[in-house]
Amino acid sequence: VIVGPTYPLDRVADAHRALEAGDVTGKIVLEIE
Amino acid sequence: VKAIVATRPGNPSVFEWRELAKPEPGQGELLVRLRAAGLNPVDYELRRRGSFAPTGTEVILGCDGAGIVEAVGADTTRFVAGDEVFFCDGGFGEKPGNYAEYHVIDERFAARKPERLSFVEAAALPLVTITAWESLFNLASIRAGDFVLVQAGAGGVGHVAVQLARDAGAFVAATISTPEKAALARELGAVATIDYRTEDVAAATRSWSGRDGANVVFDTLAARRSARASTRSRRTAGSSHASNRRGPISRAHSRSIAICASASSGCPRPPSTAGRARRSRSARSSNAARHGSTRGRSA
Repeated sequence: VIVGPTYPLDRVADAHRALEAGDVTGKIVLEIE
Repeated sequence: VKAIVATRPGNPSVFEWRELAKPEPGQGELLVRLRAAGLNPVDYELRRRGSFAPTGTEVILGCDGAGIVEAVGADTTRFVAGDEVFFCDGGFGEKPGNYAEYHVIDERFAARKPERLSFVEAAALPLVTITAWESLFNLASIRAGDFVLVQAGAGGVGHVAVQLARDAGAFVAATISTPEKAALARELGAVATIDYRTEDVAAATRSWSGRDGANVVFDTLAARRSARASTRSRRTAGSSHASNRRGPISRAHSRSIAICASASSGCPRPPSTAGRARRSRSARSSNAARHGSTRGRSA
């Protein structure tokens, strides 16, 4: 699996915006500390 | 413990932090300290439309997770505290998902994380791999020599399907929308790419396969345009499969039931054994002769 950008959990809204925009290659993943 | 909840259906602003009680594992369950959660399109569909939870309920989304087992419930047999695991579980509203610090999961639905994978890589895998695997092998029963068209072959599920089909010995074509995505699909194993913006997908598929269309079309988009192209691209005796993003996927996956939606006539039946044997003798032998083996390439 190709991993795309990662976001911290508190930026889940930004991660959703990026996923919905569809201009990202690879899976978006949240990193949880 | 901290979690991100979707407070109501809507745009990404509906997410809010919550402090919740730390969950406890029940019989046969694991308490996992999450390290990563994978996002899937179904996440924003559930956020927009609402989940399977009762109306007005705040939900923790995210079905893909990876982390470290912190505690185990009674009668667990497969894992102990400290094990690294990954899984597809929860996140559709009926059960809390993985946008959180902790997740409780039935140990039967967890898998041990390979050491060579990071938590981020492991959390990216489950749903897309389950979707591609079930569609290609459980439903379509692809075999070496099949012509397989993967719609959105550089997409989240598509790029996994390309690799699985290639490793099964199929000849794979992928629809794409940019030269970069075409290069990626070819790198992953597609022997042909079709730009759906500028080409007639069905005509290009038939031209590529050299016969009357692909044996199998893998279409997770299930959009009107792709569905029409998928139907026209497949052989009469072939199959067209798509994941249905609106269905109760979590419940289906927990029972290892694949979701299938044909573009035109419901879930198609796989070819009969006799038909499959005839196809193996004729099409596959000629496929191999014309295209050579697809095995032996690295993922």
